[in-house]
Amino acid sequence: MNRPAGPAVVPEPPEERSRASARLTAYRRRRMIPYLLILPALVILALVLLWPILQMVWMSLHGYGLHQLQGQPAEWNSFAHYLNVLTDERFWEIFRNTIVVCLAMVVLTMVLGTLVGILMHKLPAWASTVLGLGLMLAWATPVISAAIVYRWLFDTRYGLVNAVLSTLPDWLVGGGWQDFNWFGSPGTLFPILVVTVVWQSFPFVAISILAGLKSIPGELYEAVRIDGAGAWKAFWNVTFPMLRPLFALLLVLQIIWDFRIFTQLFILAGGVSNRDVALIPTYIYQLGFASTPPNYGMGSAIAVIMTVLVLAISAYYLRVMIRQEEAR
Amino acid sequence: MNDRYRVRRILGRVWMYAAALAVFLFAVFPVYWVLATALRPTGEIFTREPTLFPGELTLEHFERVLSGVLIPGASFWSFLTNSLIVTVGSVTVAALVSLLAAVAVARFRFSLRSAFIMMLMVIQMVPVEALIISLFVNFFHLGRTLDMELVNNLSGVFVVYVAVALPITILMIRNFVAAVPKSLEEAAAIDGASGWTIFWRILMPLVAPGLGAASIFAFITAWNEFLVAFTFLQNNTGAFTLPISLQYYFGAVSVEWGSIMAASTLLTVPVMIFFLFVQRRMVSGLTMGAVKG
Amino acid sequence: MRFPRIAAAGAVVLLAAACGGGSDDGAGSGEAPDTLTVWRMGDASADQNEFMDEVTGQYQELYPDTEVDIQWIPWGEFSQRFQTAMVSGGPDVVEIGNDQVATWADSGALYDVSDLAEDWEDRDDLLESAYANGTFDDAQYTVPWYSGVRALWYNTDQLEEIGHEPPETWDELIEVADALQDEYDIPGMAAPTDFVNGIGSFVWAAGGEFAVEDGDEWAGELDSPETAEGLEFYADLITEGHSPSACVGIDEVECAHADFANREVGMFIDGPWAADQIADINDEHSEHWATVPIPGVDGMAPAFGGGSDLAVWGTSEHPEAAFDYITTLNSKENAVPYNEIASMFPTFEDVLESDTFQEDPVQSGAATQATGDLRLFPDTPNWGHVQWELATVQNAVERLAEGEDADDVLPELNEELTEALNRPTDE
Repeated sequence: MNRPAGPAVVPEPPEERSRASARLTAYRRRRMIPYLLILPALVILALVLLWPILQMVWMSLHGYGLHQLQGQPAEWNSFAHYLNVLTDERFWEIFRNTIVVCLAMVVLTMVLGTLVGILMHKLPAWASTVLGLGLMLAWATPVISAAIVYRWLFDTRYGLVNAVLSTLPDWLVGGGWQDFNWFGSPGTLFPILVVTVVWQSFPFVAISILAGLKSIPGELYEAVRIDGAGAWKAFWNVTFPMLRPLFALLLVLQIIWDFRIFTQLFILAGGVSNRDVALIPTYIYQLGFASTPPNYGMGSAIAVIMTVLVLAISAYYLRVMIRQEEAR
Repeated sequence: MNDRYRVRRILGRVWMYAAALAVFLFAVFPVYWVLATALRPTGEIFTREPTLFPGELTLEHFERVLSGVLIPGASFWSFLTNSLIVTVGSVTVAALVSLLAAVAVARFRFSLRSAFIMMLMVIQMVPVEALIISLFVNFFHLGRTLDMELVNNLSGVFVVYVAVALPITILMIRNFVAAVPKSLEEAAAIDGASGWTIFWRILMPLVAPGLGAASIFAFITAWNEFLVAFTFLQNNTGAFTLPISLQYYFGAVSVEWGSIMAASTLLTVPVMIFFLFVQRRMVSGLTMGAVKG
Repeated sequence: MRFPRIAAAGAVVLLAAACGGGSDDGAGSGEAPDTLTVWRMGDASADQNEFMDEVTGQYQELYPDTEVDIQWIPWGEFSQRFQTAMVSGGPDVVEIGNDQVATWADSGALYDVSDLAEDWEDRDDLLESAYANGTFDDAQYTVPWYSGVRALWYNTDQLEEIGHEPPETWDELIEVADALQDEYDIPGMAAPTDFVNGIGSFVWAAGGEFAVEDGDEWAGELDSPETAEGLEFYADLITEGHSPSACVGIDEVECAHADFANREVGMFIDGPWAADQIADINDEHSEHWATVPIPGVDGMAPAFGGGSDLAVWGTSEHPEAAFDYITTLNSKENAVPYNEIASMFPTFEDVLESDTFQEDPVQSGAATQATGDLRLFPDTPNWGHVQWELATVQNAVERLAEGEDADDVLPELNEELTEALNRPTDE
C-alpha cells in the first residue's frame, strides 16, 4: 500500500492545495476501506462472541443467578467459584473422566483412521471408492441421529446388541444380557459414547490421510523397500515424517472436537441429570440450566477453565497458524 | 520360494479385503439399521429376536412423522422450513460478510490487520459449549433492551450461527482471495474498470470455489447444530429446527423407535446428498491452512 | 424486580361475581384468551390426561372460546424451560414444586396473585401453612395444590389382637412395637436409614431442625440437643431391636414393603401411594391395612410435605383468566378425583377432614397428617447436594444405628453439613 505523503512544507497555490486535499480525502477514503470491509464481521463477532466471552469471565468472578439475569447488580465474590470448583472432588472426577474419555476417542480415531487411510491407499480404485462411500455415510450422519441410533442399538429391552449377546453362548460373553442397561453407569456408558464418536470421526481422518498419502512420491517407498524395510518401518521412516504436519493438525482438531462432546452424551445419558456420567460440557450445562436455581456463575467458572484448556491444547495449532501469518 | 511369496501375497490380499469389508460394515451398519428400523412394521421392532432384514416393508412410520401427529401443533414441514431458513440464511449472510472481511485482510495492509486475524484464530477455538451460558444471558438481556425476541425465536439462533461460522469462513476465503494474482486486478484497473467491476468480474469467479468450500462447513455445522437451538428454542415448538425436533420426539415418544428412525432418516438425507457432492472439498478445506502453509 | 400488579378493580368485581356465584352464569372474569397454556410437571399418563381433559371441559364452561393447551414438562427439564420462559414463550399457568416456589417467585418469574386470591371463595379453607408457602414480602405468588404426605402404616387386626390403640406418641410407638414383637415374633417397626423424609418427622417432633439460616449463613443443627434427640430415637429403633437391622443403609421401599406385605414387620412409614406396590407383592391382608399420623414426642409429629403449588406465570397476558383456570383445576370437586389417580392430598382442610378421606383406613392417617404441621427441608439449593450426594443425614443415622457414639458422629457430620450448605449458590 502507499505510504502517506508527508505534510507539504512549501505553501502551495490555492488550486494546487484543493487538489492535494482531494487527493488526501481519496487517500483517507482508501485507508478507510479495509475497516469498512471488516466492520460487519467485527460487529457480529463482537456482539455475539467477544462480548459473551468477556461476560463469561466476568460472571465467573461474581455471584450470578436468576436475580442477576433479571437485572439486579452482581456482586464480586473473590474467586469463590474457582476455589469451590478446584476443591470439589466431583469436579475433579468429571475432569478426569473428560480427559480419559477424550483421550480414548482421540487415540482410537487416529489409529483407526490412519490404518483405514493406508488400507484405502493400497486397495484398488473401485474398492477404495466403495469403502470411501461407506465412510461418508458415517461421517455425514448428523450427530444427533448418530447418538440416537447407538442408543437404539444398545436399547435395554429391544436393542440389537442385547439380543445378539443373549443368543451367544454364556461361556463366550457371560450371561445376564437380557434387559441389560448400558446407559446408567459410567463403566458401560462411556465406552458406547467413545464408539459413537469414533464411528463418526475416523472417516475424516482416514480420508485426510489418504489425501496425504497420495501426495507422497512413490519413489520414497521404493527406496526404503530396496533397503529391505517392512510396512511398519516404511510407515515410520517415510509416511509419518512426510505427513507429520497433517498428523499434528488432525490430532489437535480431534482433541478439540472430542473435548467438546455434548450432544451424543446428552442423548445417550438421557439428559444431564445423571452426574455420574457427566463430562465437562454437560456439567456446565447442568449447572447453568438444569439446576435449581441456576448457577450461572459457577457454570461460567467451569466454562472458563474449559476454554483455557482448549486454548492451551490448540496452542500448537495456533502457533503454526500465526507463524504462517507472519511469514506472509 | 516364489510360491511362498505368492501365497503370502494372496494371503495379504485376503486380509486386506477382509479388513476393508469389516471397516465398511462398521461404518455402514448403524446407517443401515436406522433405515431397516424405519421401514419395518412396529411388530418387528419390538421383539427380543430382531431379524437382520425387515420381513416386510412399510412406510407407516414416515407417514406418522410427515403427518405431524408426533408433536401436536407443529409439523415436520415447519421444522424443515425452520432448519432451511436458519442454515441457508446464516450461511448466506456469513459468506457475504466473510467475503468482505476476507478481501480486506488479503488485499489491504492496515494497522489492525494482524490483530484481527489473530482474534479470528483464537475465537474459532473457543467452544460454544463453554459459551452457552453467557450466550443465553447475553441474548436474554439484549432481547430485553432492544425489545426483540432473541430467545424462543429463530433470530437468536440465526445470529449465533452466523457468528460461529465467521472466523473459519473468513480465514478460508482469505486464502482464495490471496491466491488471485494481483496483476489481474491491476490489468483491469489500467483498462479503466471500477472497483466493483474488478470485484465482480475478476475476483468473484476466482474466489467462488473458496466461498463454496467455506459455506459447506457453515452449512453442515448449522444443519446439525443442537446445543444452541436446544437452549434457545425449547419453549417454542413452532420454531424448532430438525435436530431438536428429533430430540423432542425422542423424549416424548421414546419407545416409538420406528418413528424416531424415520425422522432421523429425514434429517440425514439432505446432508448425505450434500456430502456426496462436496466430499473432496471438505478434506482440502479443513486441512488446508496447516498443511499447505 | 417484581411484575406489577395489573388487576384492575373492575376485573376484581367481575371475578367476585363469577367465582363467588359459582359457574352457573357461565362467564369467566378475565378477558378470554384464544389459548391458555398450562405447564404440568412430569410425564403424562392416560389417567392424568383424562383428568386434565375433564378440567378443560369445566374451564370451558367459564371460557367457551378458549383452547387449553396442556404441556408436560419433564422434571429434569423444568429449570431450563422456566429460565427461557422468563423472556417469552412462557405458559399462563404453571405447576411448580413447592420447594421451588421461593426461587422463582423471588426472581420475578411469577405473577403476584394477591388480589385475585383474595376473592377466591375457597381460599380460606386452604391449610394456612400450605398457603403461606407462596407468600413473600406480603405478596402471594402461588396457591397450594397437592402434597404427598407419609404416615404410619399398621395392621388393624394385629393391633386389636394385642389390645393396643395405634400409637400417637414415641412412648406408645415403643410400647406397641414391643407388644407386636412379643405376640408375633416380628420386628415391631421398620426404620430404614436412607429415608430423610421420614427421619425428618422425628427430628422436627423433638423440636429440632436440620439447619437454620442466620443472615447469609447456614448453620447445621445436627448436634443440637433437640435434633440429636430425634436422630437418636430413630437410630435406637434399630439398636434396640425394634427394627430389622437389615434396614441400615436402605430406603423405605426396600426395607419395609415386602416385609409388611408378608407380615414380617409390624409398622413402617410411607405414603398411601405405597398401597399399590405393597398389594403387588402380597394383597392377602390388605383389608387390615391402615395408617395413622406419625407419632411425635407427645402427639402428631410434623411431616415432610413435598408437593406442588399453582402459579400464574409472570409473562402471562391473561392473569385473570389464568387464575380462573387455577381455581377450576384446584377446586374441591376435583380434589378427590385427583387423589384417586395420583395418590396426592389436596390442601383444603375441610376436604381432608371429610369422610371421603377419613373413612378410608389407608388414607385417613395420612390425610390427617396432611392437615397438620407440614415442613420442607432447608431452603437452599445446596440441600439437594446434601441429601442426594453427601447423604449426610443418612450417614448420621446409619452410624448411630451401627452403635457409634452420638458425641463423635454428630459434631463431625454437622461440620460437613454446614460447609456443604454454605457453598456459593448465586442466589
